Amino acid sequence: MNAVDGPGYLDEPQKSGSELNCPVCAQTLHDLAKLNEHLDRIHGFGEVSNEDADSVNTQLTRSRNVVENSSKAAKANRFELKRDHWIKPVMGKSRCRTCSKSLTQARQAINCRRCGEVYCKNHCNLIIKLNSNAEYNPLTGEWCKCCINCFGNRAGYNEFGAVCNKTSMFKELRGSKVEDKQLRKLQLENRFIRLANGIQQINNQSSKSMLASIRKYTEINKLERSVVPWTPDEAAFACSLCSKPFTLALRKHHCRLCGKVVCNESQTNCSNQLPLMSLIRAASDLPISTEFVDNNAEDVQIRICSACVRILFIKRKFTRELSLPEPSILRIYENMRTTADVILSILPQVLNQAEEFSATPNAPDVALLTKMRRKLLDSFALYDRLTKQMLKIKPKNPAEERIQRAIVFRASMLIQEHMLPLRSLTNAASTQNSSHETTPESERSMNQGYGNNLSIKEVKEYRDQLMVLKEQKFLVENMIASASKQRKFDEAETLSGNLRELNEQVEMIARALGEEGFS
Amino acid sequence: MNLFQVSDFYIDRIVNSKSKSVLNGSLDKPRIKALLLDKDTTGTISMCTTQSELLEHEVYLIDTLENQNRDVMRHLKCLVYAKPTDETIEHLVKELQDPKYGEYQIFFNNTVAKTQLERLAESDDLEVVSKVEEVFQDYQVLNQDLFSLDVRSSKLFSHQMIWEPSGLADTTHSLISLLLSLKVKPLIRYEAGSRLTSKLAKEVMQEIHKNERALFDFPVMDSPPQLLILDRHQDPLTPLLQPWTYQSMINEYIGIKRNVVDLSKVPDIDDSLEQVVLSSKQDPFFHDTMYLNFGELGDKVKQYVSSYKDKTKSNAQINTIEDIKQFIGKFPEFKKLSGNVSKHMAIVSELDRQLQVQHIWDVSEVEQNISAHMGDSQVYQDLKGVLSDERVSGFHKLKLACIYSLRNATSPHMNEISATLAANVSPEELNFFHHFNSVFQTRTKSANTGKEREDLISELAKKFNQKGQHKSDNVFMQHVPDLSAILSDLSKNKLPEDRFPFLEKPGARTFCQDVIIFHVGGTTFEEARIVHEFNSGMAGDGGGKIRTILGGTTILNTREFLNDCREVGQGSTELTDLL
Ligand SMILES: [Zn+2]
Ligand SMILES: [Zn+2]
Ligand SMILES: [Zn+2]
Ligand SMILES: [Zn+2]
Ligand SMILES: [Zn+2]
Repeated sequence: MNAVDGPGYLDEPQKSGSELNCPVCAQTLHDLAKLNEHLDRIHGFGEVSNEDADSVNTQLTRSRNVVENSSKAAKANRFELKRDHWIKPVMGKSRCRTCSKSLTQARQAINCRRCGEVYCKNHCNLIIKLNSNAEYNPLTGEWCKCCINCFGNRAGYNEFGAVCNKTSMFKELRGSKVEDKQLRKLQLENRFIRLANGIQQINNQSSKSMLASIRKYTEINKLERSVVPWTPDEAAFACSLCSKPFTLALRKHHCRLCGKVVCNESQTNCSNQLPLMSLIRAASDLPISTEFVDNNAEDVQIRICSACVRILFIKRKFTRELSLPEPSILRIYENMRTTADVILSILPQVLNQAEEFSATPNAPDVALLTKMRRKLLDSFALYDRLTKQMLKIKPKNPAEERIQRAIVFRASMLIQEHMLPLRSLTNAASTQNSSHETTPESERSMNQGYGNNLSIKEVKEYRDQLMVLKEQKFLVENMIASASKQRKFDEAETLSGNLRELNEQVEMIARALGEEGFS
Repeated sequence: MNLFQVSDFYIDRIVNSKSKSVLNGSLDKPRIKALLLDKDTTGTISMCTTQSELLEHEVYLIDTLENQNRDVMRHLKCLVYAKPTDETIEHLVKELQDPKYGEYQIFFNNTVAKTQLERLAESDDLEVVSKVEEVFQDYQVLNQDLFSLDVRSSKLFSHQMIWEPSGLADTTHSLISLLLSLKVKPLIRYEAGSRLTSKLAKEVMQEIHKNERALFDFPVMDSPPQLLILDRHQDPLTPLLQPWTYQSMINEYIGIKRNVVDLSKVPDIDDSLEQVVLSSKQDPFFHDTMYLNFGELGDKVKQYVSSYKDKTKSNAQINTIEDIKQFIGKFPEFKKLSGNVSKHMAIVSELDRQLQVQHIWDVSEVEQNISAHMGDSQVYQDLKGVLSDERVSGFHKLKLACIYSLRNATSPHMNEISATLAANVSPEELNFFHHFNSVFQTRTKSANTGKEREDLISELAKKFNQKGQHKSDNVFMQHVPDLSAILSDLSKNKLPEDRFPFLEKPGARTFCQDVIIFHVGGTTFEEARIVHEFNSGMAGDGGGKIRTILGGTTILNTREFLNDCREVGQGSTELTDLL
């Protein structure tokens, strides 16, 4: 069967002209003799086993005789493909693995050279590089015929989506920068501790004696300069942060933590007088005693530049904000999300059971079904309540408002998707059961009654109906408009009739609903 | 080799990225995520997913990195998806120094430079970044087998038609991201005699070699994929002809950018239809009709509308509550359908209007006849008729003359055409006609010597293809783009190497199985259709042996292409004028 593998991967070799293309791998060969040698050597056409020797194409045999001599040398490194894994086709019984066509003649059947399965000629026309063990080898293999599965399973053929994780590289880079910053931060923290404790000591002493209180500011000044040496005023011509040159209007100030000379511009915010007590509170993790005796302690302020504030306090502020409770929008969302998970996990079970139930109404697990359905409905009610709660929250900023809107939108999609199909189900089940499916809560509200003689259930149903009709009316009106725009008047005519009917129905229901028609 | 699959994979990877929230202590909570995009990724994302799909992944806040006025939402995790340009890095630096959210996971759509990463690391004092990852999608996906870099030629090339260094670098990087997203390390082929394509080929090759071990270490294939880089100017005819299939007609007559069709200029358009989204991924009707010609399309739209009407009719007879319930169950789907019907009705009727207003039926017939029947005297008479037809716009007349000169450069009629044109268009447009001729005639003269023979081959291939596609009877679609012959040569593994040389010739004999074809200077939706038809044919009878993806620096319509031609060589003439 292999000798007539026939038109293979590519079009049939051109019989005219001097050059020929191999029907299997399309390599160009100079004449028929070369092609036959190539077929024998590369594609194993020559390895004819005894049982199908008689099916060998006569032309090929003839031509093999021609190349017999020249191929003697080639025979030394002749490619012999393993074939004991080939499944032997049983004529009339075997079917092509791809198209299931029954194979009735040996000529129609081909074994995939790699997996050995049987195919029809059309479904084994791809090529793959195999080694003599019939294993895929893209580098040193020889071209052989194969099926679509073996073709598609080659390593790398169906892969996509390269990604490159840079996290560890990023963290390494960040780490190397962080080390310096960490040292700097420790240094500033130490200075701050000494300064804060020192000022408190001086303050406490000054409250005890008159003399100390007179010397208080000199003492503090001395302390400040001992904590960090100040850059001399004469050496500073411009603010070390914003680089603005100092003038009579732009005065020089010393940061008490780094000692650099900075300005006091409110626009650039290069430095500020900050109340010591709030600084201490902002860094409550540092070992600073807070035993102020003096009530005036709240008034004590120290000047710190913005760079030092950032190093000392920004991380503390960030972590503090993170540990604050979540905004209520997020909290309620978490509950909605959990409820939705519950709904989505029970829903398929309920639908399944309901189906079984309708098939055999007297099945014993009616109780279970009822219980599940109740749980589902309760979950839906809870979800609905949470959504309403969500709607009531007043967003703190535009971002919260957008999130809120998106959450409510998603919630309505979820209800539309899962609750509406369920409605017909519960209805079907409840008519069979003739039991009320309303939750106690909605039953309570039902007793409030309405001005007309309709029950809440009826009002709801009529409202639904009205909504649908109005939507339809809108659609039809649009269609009429576009039809008349395109001068398709006969179309507009029929549509108008449609619209009249709709209008009548709408009016009818609206009348029945009375006051309750417009919610 | 399905670009939609690729982008789904990446989007999924981004929005479902797990957080290792150590700061918070709790496990992956809160679940609500913010997504920050830049001006490049906004396009990529909007073309491959919808807002409701993002909502399903709990992305409840989408904003741009550039927006400085975002509110602080300390408890949200923030996903950043951005192109690693210096501009975005600076925006990110600012964001990290004063973070609005609690945690950041940064995804870049292409390779990020080490200096850029350093810059980010330096500014992440608060250690808010928990992940940095490169995914590779620095291009726009239009169809499952079509992508665009969405860059006009004027930004890529200087007037002398050589690469601007920045344009070459950007194009190379985008192509590299495409190759990585498909996990392909290709053999590269370019068009002989085209400086643009050989330069780009070399650049891409170099970039692959540079990242061989880090990124391109994919399994060796027995038949390696091929990247075939083509020059738009080698087939100027295709982008000059009026197109007749749905997707390309929309691009020609209305315009479509990032899947958005702007209908606001259509007279009496409904407010809700001023901007409509058209995506073959989300719109099944468009998916089925995008490659149909205008005649087939008309039938499909009629069917679509009448099936919709049937549905409304059956629903109009709602009498029982049961009917209503059924209807409500179908309601969301129904509403979507009605929106879609009116959208396509609006687009198709606008196309129809444009065809009539611009007298495209007459213009296109002559155009097609000129391209298909070289040197036919009847065609020449028809051409003269249209050129002096007052109802036809100057643009179309100019274009017709250009098409004629492309096909009949040595025709004795050329002077007469020139004279007729002079009487009918402005002097600037006449000037452009001569300019166009000089650009494309010198090109054909200097082209490689094998050209003549190949032309013969592709003529034959064209005829064959026409028969094969049973389209020869359609006067408006007689022209077959050169790409068709290239594909058919590829499928026979006979694409001539003298015309499309390999940059590095493969050692062993290989076959063409996966091909990425990239048009420098822009590709067209008509060619996208040909690739799509080729792919479907291959997937069917071909047993899937060849998969093709087409791309271009942009997607052209006739006006854009003619404008691009206008700019070619402008600088050089000025220079010679001075000397
Ligand atoms: Zn062969
Ligand atoms: Zn078969
Ligand atoms: Zn197989
Ligand atoms: Zn300053
Ligand atoms: Zn300081």
